[in-house]
Amino acid sequence: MRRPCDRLWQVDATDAGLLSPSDVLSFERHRHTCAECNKEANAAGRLRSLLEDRPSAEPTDLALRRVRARVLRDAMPGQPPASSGLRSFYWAFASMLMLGALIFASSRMLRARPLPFAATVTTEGTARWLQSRESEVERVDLREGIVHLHVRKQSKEERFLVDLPDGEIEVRGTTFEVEVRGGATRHVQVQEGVVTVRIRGRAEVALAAGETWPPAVDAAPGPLPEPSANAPRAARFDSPMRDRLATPARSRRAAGEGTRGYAEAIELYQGAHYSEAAEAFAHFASKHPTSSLDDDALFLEALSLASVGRLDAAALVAGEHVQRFPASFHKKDAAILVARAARDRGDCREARRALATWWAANPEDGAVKAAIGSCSADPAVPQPGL
Amino acid sequence: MKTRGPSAARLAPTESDAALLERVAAGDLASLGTLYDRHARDVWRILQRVTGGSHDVDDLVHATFLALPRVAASFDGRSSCKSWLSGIAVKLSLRRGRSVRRFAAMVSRLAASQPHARAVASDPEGDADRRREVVALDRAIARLSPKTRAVFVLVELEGLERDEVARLLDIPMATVRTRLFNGKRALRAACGRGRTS
Repeated sequence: MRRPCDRLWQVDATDAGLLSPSDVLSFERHRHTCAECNKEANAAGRLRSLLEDRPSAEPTDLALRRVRARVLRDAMPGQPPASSGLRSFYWAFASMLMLGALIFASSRMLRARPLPFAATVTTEGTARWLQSRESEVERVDLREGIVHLHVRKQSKEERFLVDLPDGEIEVRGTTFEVEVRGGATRHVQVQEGVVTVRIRGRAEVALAAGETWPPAVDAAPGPLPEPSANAPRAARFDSPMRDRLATPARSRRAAGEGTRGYAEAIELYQGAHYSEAAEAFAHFASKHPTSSLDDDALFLEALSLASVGRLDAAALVAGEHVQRFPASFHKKDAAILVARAARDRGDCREARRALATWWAANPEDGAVKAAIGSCSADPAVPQPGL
Repeated sequence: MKTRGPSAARLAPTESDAALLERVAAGDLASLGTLYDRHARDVWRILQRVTGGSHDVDDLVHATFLALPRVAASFDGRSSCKSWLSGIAVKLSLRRGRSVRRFAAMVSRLAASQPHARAVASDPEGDADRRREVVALDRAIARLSPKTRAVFVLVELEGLERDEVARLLDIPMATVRTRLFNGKRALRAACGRGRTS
């Protein structure tokens, strides 16, 4: 058996630029007399050429935005300090993966029958759709028509998605309506809860109860939702604000100056940059406390904070909103944010107090029941209206 | 906790990666968002190459950036932020990618994947040959061991220096050289076979 050429290593070294110019020349001369090195060097050149021709996959903007929203949501405050170290993080991460895999495998083995669907789907007229559930992920694939969906509250492990021809909708527990015509999403209307709409080529949008997609006024930088003005302004603010409200011209001027900041905040919100949107709304509200957009700004700040998982901060802002705007269009949804945070930290009295008005009016209200959740059975606190 | 004031990241779009990492280490999510916007596409592309087009790429990107608040303080500036992030991403992918089943699925996906058309098709026969060779190369890359593939991608496709890769992956320089040598030998041989078959 013939021994390989002892200068074969210089193929790689030349390729990597590790040889001196004189060594390169020496090797080039050697190549012409050594078939083995010549073949290997040609193969190296061929490999380089093919690597340049390899297609390079690129992520879609939608996928990147979706991951971004997950990262910012999951990176909420309360994490262990950075000094815990990269290595320990990786160990913890790997352990979590293994634990998750074990739980997943055991749940698959123990599950004797398929999970019931989380959503109730009703159609309006003729609609083409398919509902499926795999493990903790449920999907409704809507091809054409109008469907109404009522989705029960999802556990932390569960996801519910509506697949659209041109995007998707994700919800945590809500009631809403979707219309698809001619391979495109035409209309989304939310009755309860919050819905995230992701349509290709457009910014991700979170819709709260009462809101629709596309927005009624779709002109950039049009506010979303439309500012509500259903409350007397004087009733909305604490006493230090009233002096400013006494000068309508000043108020109008302040609102005009703040439009740009509000539009920027809305743009961040629509782009699913919720942390930045929350800051921008807060900045706007602090700079323009007499603006007619203040009601919406405060509510959207709470919604943005909730979207990144900062439920306690969202509840604080929502509580401020409820106090400042008692007749607001968003009052019920703000109260729901307050109640959910209270429920999660075990303060059932506060959860029930926040929603007492709506609970007394309609004990079967799905959104209210979902927000109060386990607190509805708290025997220590009498139910409102009883 | 409410914070007042506009997003600092928005106000300072030219802020350096190192400064942003410092703020991420202090818990600033806006800076994390800015870093994501700057580097997520590159990290995604590297992971896509290292994993051979696995469906886990989005999850790995998520895990990489989610790790930043905890590991940002360890950034020493010896590498660029992009390279440093690539090292984290590749190490995460290697830890995740040890499942034989996932590897087999990845190979079968690559084997079933269609070649990418070249922009110029003046020689249809030659073009078809070229496409076959690219497919053979893709399959050969998929057959490399995950560790060898990671080194090959970072050095040959991403253009990182060998010592930088050694530092980022916490492996000796000699190991980088060995893996790169083995990987290239295997790929050259595969290219030769693809050409003759």
